[in-house]
Amino acid sequence: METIEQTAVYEQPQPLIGGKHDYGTITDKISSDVLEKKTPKGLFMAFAVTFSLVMLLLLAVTYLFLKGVGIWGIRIPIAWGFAIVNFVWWIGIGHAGTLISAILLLLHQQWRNSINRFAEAMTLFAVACAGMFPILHLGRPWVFYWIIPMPDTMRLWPNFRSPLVWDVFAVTTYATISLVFWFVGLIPDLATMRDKAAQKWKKIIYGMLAMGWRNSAKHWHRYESAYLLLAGLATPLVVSVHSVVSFDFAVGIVPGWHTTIFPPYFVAGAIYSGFAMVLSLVIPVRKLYHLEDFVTSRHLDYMAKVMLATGLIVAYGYAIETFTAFYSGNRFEHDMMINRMFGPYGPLYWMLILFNIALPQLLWLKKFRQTPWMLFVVSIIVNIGMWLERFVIIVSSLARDFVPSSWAIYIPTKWDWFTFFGTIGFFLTAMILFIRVLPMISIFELRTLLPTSKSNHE
Amino acid sequence: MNHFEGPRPLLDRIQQSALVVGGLGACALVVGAIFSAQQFFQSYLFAYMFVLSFAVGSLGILVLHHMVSGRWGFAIQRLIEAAARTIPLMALLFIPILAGLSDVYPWMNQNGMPQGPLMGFKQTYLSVPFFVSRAVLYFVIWTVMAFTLSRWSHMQDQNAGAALTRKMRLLSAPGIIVYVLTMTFAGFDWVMSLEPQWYSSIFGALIIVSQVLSTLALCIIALRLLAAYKPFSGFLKETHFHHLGNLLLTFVVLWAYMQVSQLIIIWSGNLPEENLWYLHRTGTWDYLVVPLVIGHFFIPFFLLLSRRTKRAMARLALVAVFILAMRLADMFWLITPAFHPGEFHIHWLDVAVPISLGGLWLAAFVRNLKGYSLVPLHDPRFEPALERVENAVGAEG
Amino acid sequence: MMSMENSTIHGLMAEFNTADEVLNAAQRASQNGYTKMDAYSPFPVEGLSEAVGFHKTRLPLIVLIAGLFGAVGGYFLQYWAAVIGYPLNIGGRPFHSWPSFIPITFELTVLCAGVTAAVAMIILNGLPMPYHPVFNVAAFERASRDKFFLCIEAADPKFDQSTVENFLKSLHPAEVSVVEK
Repeated sequence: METIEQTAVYEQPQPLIGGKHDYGTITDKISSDVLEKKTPKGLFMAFAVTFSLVMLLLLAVTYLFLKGVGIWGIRIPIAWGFAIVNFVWWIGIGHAGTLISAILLLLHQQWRNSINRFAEAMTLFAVACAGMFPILHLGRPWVFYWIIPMPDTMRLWPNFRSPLVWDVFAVTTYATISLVFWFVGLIPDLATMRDKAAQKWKKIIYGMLAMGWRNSAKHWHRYESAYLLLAGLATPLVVSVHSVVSFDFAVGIVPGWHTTIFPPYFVAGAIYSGFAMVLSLVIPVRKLYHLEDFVTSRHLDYMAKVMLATGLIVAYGYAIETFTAFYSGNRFEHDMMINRMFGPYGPLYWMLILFNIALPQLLWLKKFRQTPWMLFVVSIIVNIGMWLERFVIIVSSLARDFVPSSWAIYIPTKWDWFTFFGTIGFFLTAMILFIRVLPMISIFELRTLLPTSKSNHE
Repeated sequence: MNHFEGPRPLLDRIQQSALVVGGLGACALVVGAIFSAQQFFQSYLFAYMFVLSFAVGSLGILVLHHMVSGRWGFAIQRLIEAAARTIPLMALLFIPILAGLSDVYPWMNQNGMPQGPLMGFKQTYLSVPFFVSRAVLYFVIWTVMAFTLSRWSHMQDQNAGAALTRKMRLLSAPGIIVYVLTMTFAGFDWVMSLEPQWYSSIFGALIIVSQVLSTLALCIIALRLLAAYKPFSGFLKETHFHHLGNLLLTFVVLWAYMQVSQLIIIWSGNLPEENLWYLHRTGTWDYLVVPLVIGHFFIPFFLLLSRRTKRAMARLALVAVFILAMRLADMFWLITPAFHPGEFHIHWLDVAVPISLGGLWLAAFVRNLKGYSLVPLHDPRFEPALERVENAVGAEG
Repeated sequence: MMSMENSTIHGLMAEFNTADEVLNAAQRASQNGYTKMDAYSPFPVEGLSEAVGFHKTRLPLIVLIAGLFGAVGGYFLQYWAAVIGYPLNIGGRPFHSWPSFIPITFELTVLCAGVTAAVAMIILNGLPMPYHPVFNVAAFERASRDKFFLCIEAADPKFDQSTVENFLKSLHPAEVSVVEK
């Protein structure tokens, strides 16, 4: 009810579900894509490419374990190269899923019901990719568990003053809660899949996952309560995760990292890149699976607007960061900013401004928000821009720190690139498998978007 | 209380008493200004920044409201429009700050301005002509935005039509950007520069969040007072308060988030030019820090978590009053330790000036409120909602 | 079929086509004094759980307690390790570096509360439950697609098979079926 009144009838928005649908046809369309229909050829072709990239990841990681992190381009003082750039990029991408599923739920934005399942899956796989990097970067990845506070023979404890330890807690909590949230959201749909599946073995698998869910009103009551509580918890959590990631930088005193605007502007950047990734994935999948009735151009328009808004917050972050560097009068801050703009990595900075700030302003135009291929292009641009942002922040600050005699240049090796593209392959492979075996749109929440689902008592 | 009458008598009463309080206060202030000029200007800045929150914060909420068009926004639209139209008064009240610049801002004096080879930017930025022209620029921009949006909205009361709504939205989209940027720099200029060696890039955002929080609290209190009267009695429902309560909760949390983020970063970095700011604000100032942590965050946070608090207008208004008191204390903590680093200090003028300025502002606000409909008429985004609510009420009755 | 003993049936189930119908049916059943019943719908229907006599869940309270446990436990974990267990001077920071302890305290609060919310929901709902009599009704698999059901259970003190059947039929359902145990 809320959204109808909030967006009101000013522009007579099109309904959130196009075509002619009822509860039955919604259920049949989404479940049959998994249970009955033949897998589209395009998906097989995509899978061939992405799975090859997973093999590349395997190769890169195996070689890394044999040789050590020396195969990467990292050299002191640039000890944080691609591994941390990619970590921050991936974890940021995950944030859109939680924003869509939790924050938009609390804001009564019902259009989220068409994309939340998909975005949450994206969150999980993005966090998995992110989690790989700090562990691979450890040098001795097999003892990564030392960072977990548990009594051992050395009787030592992690240093809780270190943001890297905060990060472990933040990222594992985030991964756990995202998984729980996703699974809770899936339970009723798993029951639907159980009831719709024709083959016995499918019934058994979906049935075990659904745990005997029977759509009881009493169960729904607790279910909705739990779902809202999870949303309420996930909302501050998602903000905290990227804030903690920003603390990884800001808590230290490296020029260009130590600035107080970092937490909110990292969070905005995370959501920005996350929405870009959702759009980059949703637009092709929508075409491939003919989901135009459920993911309408109105959905694309909303997502584009969120992207525009968060992009502007990111621009605010850049502006204030730059102003403060000059206003502070601090030698190191001042030189860092000049160096970031005109130093050896200067061209990347200007490319970042172009990709992250200038070009996305096209989204002010309705045409760019509602034409799928144009929006797709902008979303790819933002994805690249946000990756560049992390590269510029991390590398340009480390390459030229306090002592000129220690300055150096960081050049990623082919193993850096292999690992990076490998995780992209892993991410996309996981997404493809997800679309293939689970309903990619939340069926029961989509049912509530039909006008008949509202009782007259409201 | 008669439910079918307008709130005119109530508004008249509030306006008169506010004017009396403000006027009497102003006389007291003259005495204070004569006997202890420096203290007067310092207290004045603190009180001014607190009152300014309502005027400029209203403008911020107004442009946001035109973009998101929530139901809560239409309930308070005329309140925030009236508050935003007090900006010229705030510009006028800025004059004493200009008069007391050298009593308040250390960078006015040679030895207060940080020196060094790279301080040229700061010395230019914090020079009197630049400072004053920026202030003029902010006030011009805010006034133009506030009055343009108000005028279009009032025009719409006369003639129905979506064209004006479209215009308001068109102005509000860049309006948000302009508001955030101007208020950020106003916060840097007027508050952050009290300690010219200090800098914190989150400070502008913190000021904006605090400002919006103050304004939301004021709107809730005002709605509670007006709820029994027409036109509010006709459409105000629990959900309006629920939404406003949720917004209040959000901004309480955002305030804490920004404060904690700034603290963690500066405390951990422990750089001398940054951590001084916290050293100035602790010591015996802890008497204020501890109540602020508990009262500005924990108490309202737990109260506002409850659905019952948010849906009961009287209870929510009480929380809002409490938050306003905490906002005042927080503003005091942001500003006054700059003059009395590390040692708690309060003067009778720190009580008298806020009362006096608050009274004057309230009288102006109420005056602006009268004369127009208290809810926007004919806004196509609002009318269907209004009708639906009325129908629903009719069906129930 | 109608002659079966009450002890061998779980109850009687009526099938409806819309959410309003099942809500209305549940309210009528409640007015007629039935207490042991449940409704089934392919999505949460507002007011339906109240209509079948389920008003309040303890879930929020449980989650609050779990959250407080996480907060206190999280802070204590850090305090104990840094101040009591193995105090170590790191960068001149005090042992009790409370600003540094905020993030992990927060994360553990959310972790405990969030996991508890999901687990408590599942346990309070009595899941996992591999078998339930309602699944014996052939049409019931459409409860997860597009149909709405109201089941008055044999355990209800007022349960009398023919009375209940007449009552359910008076609500104009699509079908009334016996739910076997």
